[in-house]
Amino acid sequence: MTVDCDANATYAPDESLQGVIVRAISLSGNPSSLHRGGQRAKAALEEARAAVREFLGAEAHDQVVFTSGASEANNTVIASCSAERPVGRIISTLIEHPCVLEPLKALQSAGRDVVFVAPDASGEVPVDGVVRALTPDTALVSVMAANNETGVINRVGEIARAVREIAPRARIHTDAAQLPGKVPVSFWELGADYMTVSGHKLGAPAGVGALVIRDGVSLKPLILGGPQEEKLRGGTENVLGIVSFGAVASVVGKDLAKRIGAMRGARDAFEALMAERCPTWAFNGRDRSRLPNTSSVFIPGVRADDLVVALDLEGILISAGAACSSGKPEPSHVLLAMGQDAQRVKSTVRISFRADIEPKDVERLVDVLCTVAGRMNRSA
Amino acid sequence: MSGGVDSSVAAYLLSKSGSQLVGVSMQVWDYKKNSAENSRATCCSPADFCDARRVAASLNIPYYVVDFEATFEREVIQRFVDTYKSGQTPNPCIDCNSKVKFRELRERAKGFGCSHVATGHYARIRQSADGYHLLRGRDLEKDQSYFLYTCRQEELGETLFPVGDFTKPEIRELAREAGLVTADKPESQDICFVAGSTHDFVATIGGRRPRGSFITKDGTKVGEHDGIHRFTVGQRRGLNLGGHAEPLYVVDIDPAQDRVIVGPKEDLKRESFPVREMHLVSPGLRRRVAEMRSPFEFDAVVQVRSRHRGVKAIVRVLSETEATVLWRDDWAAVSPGQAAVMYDLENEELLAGGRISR
Repeated sequence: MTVDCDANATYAPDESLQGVIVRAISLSGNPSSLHRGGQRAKAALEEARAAVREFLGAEAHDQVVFTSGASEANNTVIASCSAERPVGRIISTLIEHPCVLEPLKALQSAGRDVVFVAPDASGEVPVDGVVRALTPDTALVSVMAANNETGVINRVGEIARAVREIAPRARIHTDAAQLPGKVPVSFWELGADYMTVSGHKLGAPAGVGALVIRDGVSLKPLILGGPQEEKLRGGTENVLGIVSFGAVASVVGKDLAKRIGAMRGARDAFEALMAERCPTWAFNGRDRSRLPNTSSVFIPGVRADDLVVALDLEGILISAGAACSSGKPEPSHVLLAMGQDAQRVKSTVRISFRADIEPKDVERLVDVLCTVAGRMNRSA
Repeated sequence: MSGGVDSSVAAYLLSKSGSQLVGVSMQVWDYKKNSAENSRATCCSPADFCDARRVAASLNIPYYVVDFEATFEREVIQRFVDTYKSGQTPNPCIDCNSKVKFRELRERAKGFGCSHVATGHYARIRQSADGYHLLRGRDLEKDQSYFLYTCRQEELGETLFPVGDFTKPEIRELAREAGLVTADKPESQDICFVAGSTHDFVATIGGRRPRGSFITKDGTKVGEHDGIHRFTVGQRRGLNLGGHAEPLYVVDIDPAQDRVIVGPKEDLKRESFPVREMHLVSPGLRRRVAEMRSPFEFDAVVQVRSRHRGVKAIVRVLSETEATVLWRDDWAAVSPGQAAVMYDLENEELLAGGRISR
């Protein structure tokens, strides 16, 4: 039996959702078609939109635009804001996902004033760090809601309030890909103009995400070519993905508190057991508010990428930092930005629990981690 | 698993024997970063890893790309460049085997819980009461034992060469029979990390050597060259020195003065040459050297290049790591930096090997 402790990479659909996904295949119509097949798909799409809107704590007039995922949503916001305000500073952080960092670095090389705020040693973006970077002409502030590697939650609401005061014309964006399903999300409380979410981090299949836009805030589409999504995102809608996203939002929304409790219980039990058995191991961001399912663990003397392989061979899925698409792991930019040395970064793994983790599996994870790390320290 | 047919079939043969396998491709070099050309022709490129991944999936074995770039750069690339720049001829495959494949890979595989490392080398290992013996692969055209002389006894004991008992055509036939996507993939002959010319690679990574002169043995200058890293002792082509009665060869390289000494073929002939950094492989020879009180000699077939069949010679063992090879009736041109590998008189069992020295 595989024990999946890599939920932050992707949250494999629960069995209960697999039926929904299979049924959604029969919604084969193009939502733009006038006939009943099309209209059935369109109705399902709107039902999903309502479910996602409610799940994310957005208001009725806030827009929910479905995209191909969080990467597209983040790219759309950055391209839109930089086009609408060609002059003025853009502020973000060093710990963002590459799909925020890379478009911003591209703008920076083209001459745009972009400032990346560093996190503190625990991995949190300091509110005063963002405030210090603010200028009256700031065009966009983009700060992720929770970091995918450390799980540390940023005070986006507080940052947003400060931005409104100092740079009232600035747009505020938050990449909240890791929040849904792990903390109750309130778009209103985050205070952002735009919020990015991802379907597959919640339990929908990969290939769907959403951009939530505050009522009255403009957006220039990234993909032109059709009237879909109120002309904010061209292209025939991914009905299968969107309907699954809506369904999983409803399901997760119904017992969110229970799911959060289960994740937190597993994570805290894991860290307590580890601290007892391997006192030299260290947890990143443990002194901060974190996602309830995430533990970033420094294991002295082992190569994190080898540990991932060894645990996989034991049927336990974890990751070395973020999920990496190439074969070659780059040292985590997040941990480096926190001021850690390269050696420590290469010895850090991420454990991220699902809500349906069994207590005995947490114990097995601890046993296997200790055994394998011991074996590696001996053969090195 | 390099993504070639040999390691693919090695995995296939072991999977048939019921072994529990873990497929590993070694990420040793960043081709995107280090080569302007988007070459797909080398082994271990990302496209080759796709093939390895597909083979592993078809054999239903777990598969991982494991990062070895830091060690490879330090132990193989740096030594390769430094050796050329010192006027010698490196053999990076030997360094890769000794420092990366049979050392670091083995250590890390132990971390994965593996007892053995298997590769697609054409060589054989036989165990006897006195230890492990390393033999040429059954296919003498493909034999790769020359590159393996640094293997230690404990390494041989934990290594498997499943293709060593087969010929290359048989391996291709097995690959086709198993439906492996790599069955008809062309051979990779060149140095895996060099996409274009070796000289350009050395100059790019290690910086250019200054221009220098071609001189003959008596000190006469006969031309100029673009740097000693472009030459190997024994080389005839690419000297661009016309107008001589007989073809000229590189007979020596003088790094101190950036001079390449050229001469007719007979100038390459030496009575003997020293071998350093010697590794003893065969249990019998290891025992004899361990017990030696003074230098001793034995007859062997000595191979001095990867594509050389070997000639009979006398090996005078001076210490555990030093020897002198004395040519007998026959001889071969030797290039300092390359390996001299000694086989038994049947030219089958590898006894020892070391670096040819000046």
